[in-house]
Amino acid sequence: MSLKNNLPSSFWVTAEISEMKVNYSGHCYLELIEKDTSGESIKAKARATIWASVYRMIEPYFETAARTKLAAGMKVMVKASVEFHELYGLSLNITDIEPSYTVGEMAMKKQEIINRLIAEGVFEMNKSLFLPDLPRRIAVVSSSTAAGLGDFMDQLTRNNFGYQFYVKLFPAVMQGAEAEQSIIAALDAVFEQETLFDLVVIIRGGGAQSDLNCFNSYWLAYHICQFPIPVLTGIGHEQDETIADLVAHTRLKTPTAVAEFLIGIFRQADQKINDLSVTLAELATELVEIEKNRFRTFMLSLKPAVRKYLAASSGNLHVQGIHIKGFTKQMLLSESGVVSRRGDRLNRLSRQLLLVSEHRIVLKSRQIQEIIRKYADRQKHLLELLEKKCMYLDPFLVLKRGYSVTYFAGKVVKDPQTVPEHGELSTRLAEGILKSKKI
Amino acid sequence: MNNTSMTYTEAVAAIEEILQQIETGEMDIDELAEKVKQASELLKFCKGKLFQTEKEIEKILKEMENSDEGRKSDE
Repeated sequence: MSLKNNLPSSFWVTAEISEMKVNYSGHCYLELIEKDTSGESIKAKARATIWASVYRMIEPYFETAARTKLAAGMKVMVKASVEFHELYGLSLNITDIEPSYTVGEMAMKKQEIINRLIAEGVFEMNKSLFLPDLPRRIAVVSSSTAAGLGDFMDQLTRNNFGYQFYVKLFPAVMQGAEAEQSIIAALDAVFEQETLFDLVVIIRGGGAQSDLNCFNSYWLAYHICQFPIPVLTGIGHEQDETIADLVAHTRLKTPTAVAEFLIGIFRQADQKINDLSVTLAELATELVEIEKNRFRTFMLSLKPAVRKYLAASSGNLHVQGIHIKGFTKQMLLSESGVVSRRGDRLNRLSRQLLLVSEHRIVLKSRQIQEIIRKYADRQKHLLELLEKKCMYLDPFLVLKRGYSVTYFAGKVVKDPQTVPEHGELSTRLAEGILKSKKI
Repeated sequence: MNNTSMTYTEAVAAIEEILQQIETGEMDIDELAEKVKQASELLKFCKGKLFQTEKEIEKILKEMENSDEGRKSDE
């Protein structure tokens, strides 16, 4: 009674819930603590109760406003009155709660963790990893009984496109106080076989929509940040992003969305290959078409071009013909000059030669005439001598001088012995023939 | 070109380079057939990568699962 008289009927208290438990009748029993500024040691502790009639209203109100279930580890601002029971001692009877305090506290705590991760230089680490070309080897960290896991597997393995995925589950508790350590342990197990996987997917499906505290833990975030292969989250909540989402390589809302994302990568790659094939065909066809057109145009312009060329060439020939004519004429002229010059010289020389020859001939003929004359003179003289000689030898003349020639039987008689007795002789005399007989 | 040591991304990049060469008119009509053949082989390679089944991995994962179950039943 003295308590009720000396204290206000109720007042607002801020504290951290260190333990919390709801019994079968709906009454909620809590232990509230206050830590010192270092956050290490507890400096105040008190038991508290939320009676079922109040809890039924407070619980959904808090959850709606704070978007998280009232749970151990939270800082709360509650309206309470101090009660004393002879058997159970002092306790606080909570009648109201201020969710915005918790929201603010949680946001602050979250921001502190984010700041810490940034300060440590790990915040962007997982984000900076490259997603493999075609991620098909997938390590899944999830609860083996989670509905979300089933959705994920269905979506992934029954894709209509025939893409093959290899999924291995690394089971973990996904909610409650153990969740943080369990998820970290699962990640460590993946890490041991890191080379077998292209990426890690952390999915959570079903369960309390707002029990996401473990995903706001520093240590889990720290593990995700430094994980050597990309980490994808599909934690299954629509509202706030958890720290795990913020540091993950890619954050997706639901397990189904993660599966769609992975299929999407293959879909895109597939599409790209198809596009490239089409583009290749188009470009190649286009190039061939261009060349064909060029060829056609070329063929069309070839005839006139050839004609033109021929015309030009014949013109050229003509011009060249003229050139050749002129040139030839010129050459002939110059050559004929040479020839005529040579002819002149030849004329001159031959004339000269003729003159000389003529002269020689004249001289020679004169000599010859002289020789002939001399020869003739001599012959004439000889003839005259011979004539005289002949005159002395002429038998007629001898006969005249009284000599005679006697013949016997037609032959000159030089020896009287050759003529027989009574041989008939014929003697040639100057004035006739004398016939006689040998005695 | 050695396709076996090539990644999907490298193959796509190689295809894109060929396409660009054709597009920008750097490609001679004489080279075209050869390059188109090359590109279509690369495309085939990429397509293969999309649908390939890695029997080896499947086997390893299966074995891992079995050994996990074995461990669990031991506990």
